[in-house]
Amino acid sequence: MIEAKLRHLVDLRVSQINGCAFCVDMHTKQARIAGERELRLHHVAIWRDSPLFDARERAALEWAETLTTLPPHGVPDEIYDRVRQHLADRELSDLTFVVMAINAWNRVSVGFRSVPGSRDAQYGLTKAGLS
Amino acid sequence: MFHIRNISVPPRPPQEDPAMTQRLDYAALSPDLLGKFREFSISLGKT
Repeated sequence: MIEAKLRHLVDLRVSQINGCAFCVDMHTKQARIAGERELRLHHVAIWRDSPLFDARERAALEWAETLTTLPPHGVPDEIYDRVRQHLADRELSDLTFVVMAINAWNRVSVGFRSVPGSRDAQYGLTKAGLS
Repeated sequence: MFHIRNISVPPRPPQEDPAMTQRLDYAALSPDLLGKFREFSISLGKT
């Protein structure tokens, strides 16, 4: 199982890559509600050069980025092998479904231009205190 | 209206309403699909 804190980081990073304003807004707020440090959220966009993420989080973010951008010739063994060092079979499998889901949501929200913050009340995001 | 070298520059139109709106209400149009996918997404945090 991928814990909520890591899931939110992955959701945020994938949403940044896909340019999904609604999802970036939503997952920033969800992460804050889950207790994520504000500075780490600012660093998600530059996680490779940030000292704020541990090896497991970095592996998850690398896997999420790779599956989101999909290199022309698939996922290189080098990346897969590196990720496998930090994520167990079940974790990597679950994480892949997390990446799949957020990419799908991104496409709905980008396509229909969902308005950031427009569902805060419905999703209980107002308690993030960021609106 | 003012003039620069005999070129008339019309006043700016009133600023459009900055409120953004969603293109389509997919929640209303595809409630079943949305509900199922939302359930799936929620399950990712419960496995």
